[in-house]
Amino acid sequence: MGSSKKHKDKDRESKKKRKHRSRSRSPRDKEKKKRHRERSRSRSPVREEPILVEEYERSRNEESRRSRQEPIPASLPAEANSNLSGEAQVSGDGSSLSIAETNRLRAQLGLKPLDVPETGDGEDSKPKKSEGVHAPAINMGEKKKADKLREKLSTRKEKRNMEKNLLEVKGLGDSDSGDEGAAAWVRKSRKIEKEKELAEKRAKMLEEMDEDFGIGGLVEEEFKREKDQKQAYRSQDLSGLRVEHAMDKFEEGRGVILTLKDKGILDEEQDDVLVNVNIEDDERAEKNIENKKKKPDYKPYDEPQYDEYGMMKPTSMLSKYDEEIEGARKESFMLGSGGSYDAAHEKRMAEIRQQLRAQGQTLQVAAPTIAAEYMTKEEMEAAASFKKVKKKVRKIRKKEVLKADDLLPLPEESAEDNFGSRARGRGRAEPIEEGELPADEGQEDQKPVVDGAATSLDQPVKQEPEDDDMLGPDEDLSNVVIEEDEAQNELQGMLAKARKLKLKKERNRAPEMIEQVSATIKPKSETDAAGNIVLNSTSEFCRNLGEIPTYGLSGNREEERDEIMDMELELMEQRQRQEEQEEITGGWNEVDIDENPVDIKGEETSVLEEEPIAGAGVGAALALAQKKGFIEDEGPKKAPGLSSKYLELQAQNYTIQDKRYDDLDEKNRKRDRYQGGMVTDFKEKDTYKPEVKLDYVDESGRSLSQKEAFRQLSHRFHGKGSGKKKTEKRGKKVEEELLMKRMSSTDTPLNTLSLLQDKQRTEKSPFIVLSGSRGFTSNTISKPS
Amino acid sequence: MLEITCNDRLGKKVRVKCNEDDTIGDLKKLIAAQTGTRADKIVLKKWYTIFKDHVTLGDYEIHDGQNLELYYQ
Repeated sequence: MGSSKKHKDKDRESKKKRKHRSRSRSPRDKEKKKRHRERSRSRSPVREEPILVEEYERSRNEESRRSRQEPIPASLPAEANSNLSGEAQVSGDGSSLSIAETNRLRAQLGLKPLDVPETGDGEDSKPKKSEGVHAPAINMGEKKKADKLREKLSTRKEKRNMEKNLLEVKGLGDSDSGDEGAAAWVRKSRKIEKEKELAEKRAKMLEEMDEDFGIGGLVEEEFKREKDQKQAYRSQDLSGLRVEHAMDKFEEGRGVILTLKDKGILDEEQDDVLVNVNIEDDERAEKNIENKKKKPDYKPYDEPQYDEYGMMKPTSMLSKYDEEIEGARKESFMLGSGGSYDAAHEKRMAEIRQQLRAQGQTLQVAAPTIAAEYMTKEEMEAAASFKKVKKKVRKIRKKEVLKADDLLPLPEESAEDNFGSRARGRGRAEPIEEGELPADEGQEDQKPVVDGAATSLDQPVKQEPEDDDMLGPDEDLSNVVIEEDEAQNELQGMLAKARKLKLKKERNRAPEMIEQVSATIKPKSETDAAGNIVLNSTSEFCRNLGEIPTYGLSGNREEERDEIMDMELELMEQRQRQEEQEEITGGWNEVDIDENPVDIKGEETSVLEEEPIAGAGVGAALALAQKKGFIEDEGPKKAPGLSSKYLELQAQNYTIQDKRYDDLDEKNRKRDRYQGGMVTDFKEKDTYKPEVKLDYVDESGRSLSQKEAFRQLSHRFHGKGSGKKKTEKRGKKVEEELLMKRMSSTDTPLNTLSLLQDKQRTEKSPFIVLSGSRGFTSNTISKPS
Repeated sequence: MLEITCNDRLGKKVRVKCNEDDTIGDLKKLIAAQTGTRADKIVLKKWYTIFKDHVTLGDYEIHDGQNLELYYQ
């Protein structure tokens, strides 16, 4: 180990030494080495690109020779200078070529020559050119410079020329010619005079000559004829001219002056066109208005254009630009022979167009309107007429339906015994006939009679539950008349009378009517007295009063009690009076009402009622259960509409399975599939109003409240129940509820009350001392084990 | 005209004269002519940017006297 370490140390030392040596190498050594490297490099490319390198070698030789022969021009910039000198110095290195060499190389490579900014290069390249080896490099920089200079010169020259021209032009103040002096002017004017004279002389001579030959007359004649011809420019001459206005601009019987339209002097191809200046102005104004309208450019559902024959015109693409591209199109017409134009053709065309239009049918649908909230008069009438028809149909149908009334004709049924119930049911909407009196109907309405046909479902149900309590199921209800108050009856009677009196004034038949009505009223009241039980609302009220179970239980109604007693007594008296009356009239018995008023004072005895004992029998046990809340008291909660009579209407095949909530959907689906519900309405069961009650139970069979049921349903629907904590909480609540129910309703949970009573009994004192004192230390309340 | 120095740091260092509107490909040819390596084996770099053949020196903003790294592929 140790030996190896020593070895390493040695190694390091030797390395150090070497390093040192290398650092200490002299610069001359370096150069030598460089040269050596260069030599080796120059050898290697020979193998790769022999020709290129040969040339390169040669050029370098030349370069070196040249540089030796010619001194470097002074105009060369420092950089290039250094390059060249570098080249000369480090020729062995060969890291940089001269410009010329580079240019040659570039030429071989197919590149353009270098653009050298200096001028001295041209001289450089000359000798090469003579040798025919190297074309002189065009000095791009110089060329550019020269171009620029030339341009500058030319512009300068032009400018000078222009200035010269401007100098030559005379200003307004400058005189024209050289007639500055008065003498010159005089000379000039004289010359002009002379010329004038000469001209006159010549004219005279010519005239003389004309007269000699007789030409003057000829010329005059010619002139005259020409004048005549000009005057004779007629409408015939206008034939073939174009008028550049629409036909409808010209009205019959109105003269319009047309002039030749202006046109360019040079364009001879255009024909002469006649226009009226005013009409042209009008057209322009129209166009301006049209432009101002700012019609939308894009009209996807534009109405199609029709040509003069009523055919649809194919719309060109982007027709809105037509005017801009081709110029405005103008309507025009050509004047026919004789310079006139016949508009008959146009008229015929218009006629044809109209005909075609008449043949066409519009595809436009009437625009939808907002439905009015109120009916118009016409609609009302229509509706009324429709209603009538409907009514008729209904009547027919009604006859088709068989009712229990139709099947069982009552023995004593007569026109008078029809107490209006059927008539009411059938035709309430029917207008009152003339013979009938409204009072009559009112009277009848007040006394609905429960007759033998009361078993039909139509009959009033309101009174049923009370009946059930008192009457046996077999008892005949045929003779029960439910009567309203006497006072009410009287009032109604008076009102009827008043109405009758009013009618009497109006009609002459009135007296008969009164008789008739009185006849109908009287026997009824008699029959009432004869064989029916009268249930009036007062007695009903009193009967119900006795049944209030909680009244006075809390023991805080003592001040009211006397009043109630008084009222009860009064009612008693009233009833007795009634009974007497009834006894006089006939043999019918009143509904059994408890005679004596409710014993309110009897309940005074105990605030805390004693817990009932279950030992006495099943009834007692049930009573206890009810009291404790095991059984719910259903008596008062019983629905008024649900009587023993309708038990048959309740579900016959009612099973607990129907209540199951988890397959409700499936059942519904099945039902939907096989029967699509009722199609026709069930006339027989019109008045049947089933009482629907949905019960939901949880897993343990406990019936759920609405809220709980919803929760369960929701959980089922979402497939996610409430958390563990919440369910626990709810379970605890349910348990508590159960405990509460089981708890004695008359005592505290710790039975303190019974203990208290025990204590009192043993001590025989009406009180108990809670705070401990010497005398009573032994008597403290203690929980029984 | 500008002169560029190209150096692979293995012993070759050349100075090349060229135009500003020469492409890198042209420059490579010139370098190849001077050094004797094949032009298509030359890679010119400046830091991590490899110069592409079809782009001119002017576009790469290579100016006079700049140093390019010379690599071989």
